[in-house]
Amino acid sequence: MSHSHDVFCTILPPHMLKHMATAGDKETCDRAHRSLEAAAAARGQRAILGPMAALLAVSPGEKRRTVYDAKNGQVLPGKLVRGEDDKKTKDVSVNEAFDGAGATYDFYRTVYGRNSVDGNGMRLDSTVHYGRNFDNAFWNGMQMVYGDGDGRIFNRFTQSLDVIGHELTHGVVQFSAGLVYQDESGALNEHFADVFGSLVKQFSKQQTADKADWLIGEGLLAKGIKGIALRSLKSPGTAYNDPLLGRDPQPAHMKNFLRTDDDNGGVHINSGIPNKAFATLATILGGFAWERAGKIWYETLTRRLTANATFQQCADATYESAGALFGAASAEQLAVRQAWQTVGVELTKGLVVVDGPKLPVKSAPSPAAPAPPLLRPLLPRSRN
Amino acid sequence: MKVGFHRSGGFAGLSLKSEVDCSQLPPGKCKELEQLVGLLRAAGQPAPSPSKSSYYADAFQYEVTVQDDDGTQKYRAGDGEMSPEMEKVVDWLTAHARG
Repeated sequence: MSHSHDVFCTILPPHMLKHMATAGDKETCDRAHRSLEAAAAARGQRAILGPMAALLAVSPGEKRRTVYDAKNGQVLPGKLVRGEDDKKTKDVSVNEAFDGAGATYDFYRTVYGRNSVDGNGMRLDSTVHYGRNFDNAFWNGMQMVYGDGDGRIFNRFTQSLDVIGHELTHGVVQFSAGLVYQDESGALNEHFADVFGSLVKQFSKQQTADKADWLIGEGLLAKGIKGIALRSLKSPGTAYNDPLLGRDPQPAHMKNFLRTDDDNGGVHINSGIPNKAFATLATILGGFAWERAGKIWYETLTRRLTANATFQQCADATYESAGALFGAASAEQLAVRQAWQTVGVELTKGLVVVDGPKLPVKSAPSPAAPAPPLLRPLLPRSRN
Repeated sequence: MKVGFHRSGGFAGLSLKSEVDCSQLPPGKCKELEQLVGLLRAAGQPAPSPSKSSYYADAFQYEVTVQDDDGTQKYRAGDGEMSPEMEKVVDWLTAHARG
């Protein structure tokens, strides 16, 4: 993409653009910012902006969104069609991408204090109408990209808020744990994207865990396709069963973990296992899922996981997070153990005191020990 | 000429596979495919495997296998990382696989 004023801007050295990006009026700032980004993107190095990102970021709490139209081609980002201060357009995909990015930004900002996907006010760029009959949406490390679907199996991908939340969450993962997109760590990457994609939707509707549908991609399947969504966090493997699409392949338990070369080692398939653990936790705890279950998961993603994390390591990390946030041996921590047990992951962590007096670490219950009783839904904690 | 096509990954994690035997296609369609494959070959060495960068997520991964008298060649690429020649072959094969 290039505009005549950006051609002028790109011959300016970065230190001048940097000054313009912070000291100029908003339009100058935006143009300088785009020039720096375009130059960095041309070098394939959006990350190079790292140290300058803080200077280029907006004030905390201000979102900045741009939507582009690829006009059924595959050149990114495409033609700029809506900026942050622009009114609604006549193109429903453009408006959906714009609104969905806004809802996702607001969710992370309001609930977890996170300023955009990088935590530093990164602008949210979306391209719609990518490709022809493109049955997909993806994140490319810098922006979201949405297809229109083929109309036969899939509708346009911007119409599901959880899809938009899912894509943006891949950005959050990128700028936090950086989970490698392969095998177990890749399935965890997908899992966090599904979890927070679903929570964005639940937050927008102010739904409690028991009222939420826990579906990803509801409304994506075209009329006539036998299915309710692409995935179900609550009941993996049940979202669809159709002659054209096949059957939802997601497992709900470790015993059905799929080893495959397809799909980067089945990242969209095996994510069903941790997805069910999360939905189970949220249901046990009750109330709004983003408040406790989501908080534990956010803490885990942003402060504990490493790039090559396994399901086991993730489970253990969520247990530690629950202890740190809600106390050792808290109902939340016990519920985390319970939730992972239902999908066949036994924690390796015992009763570890995270805060407070040090106590001897007890070993995990032996296989002969009875399973802990199922916890009844807890009343939501009162807000401080 | 036979062309194998495998698309995997994507947001839905679905697999799409097809085998095209040019000799079984209507002559016009066969010529169309041969031209596109010819451009792909002329573009240079088969594309390397798409980067498994952790930054790409939900992108489709494509593998095109061409078999003819010149031997067998594999071409791999992912959404957002394809040459224009690969894009055209993938578009053609996707439309054909969907029926």
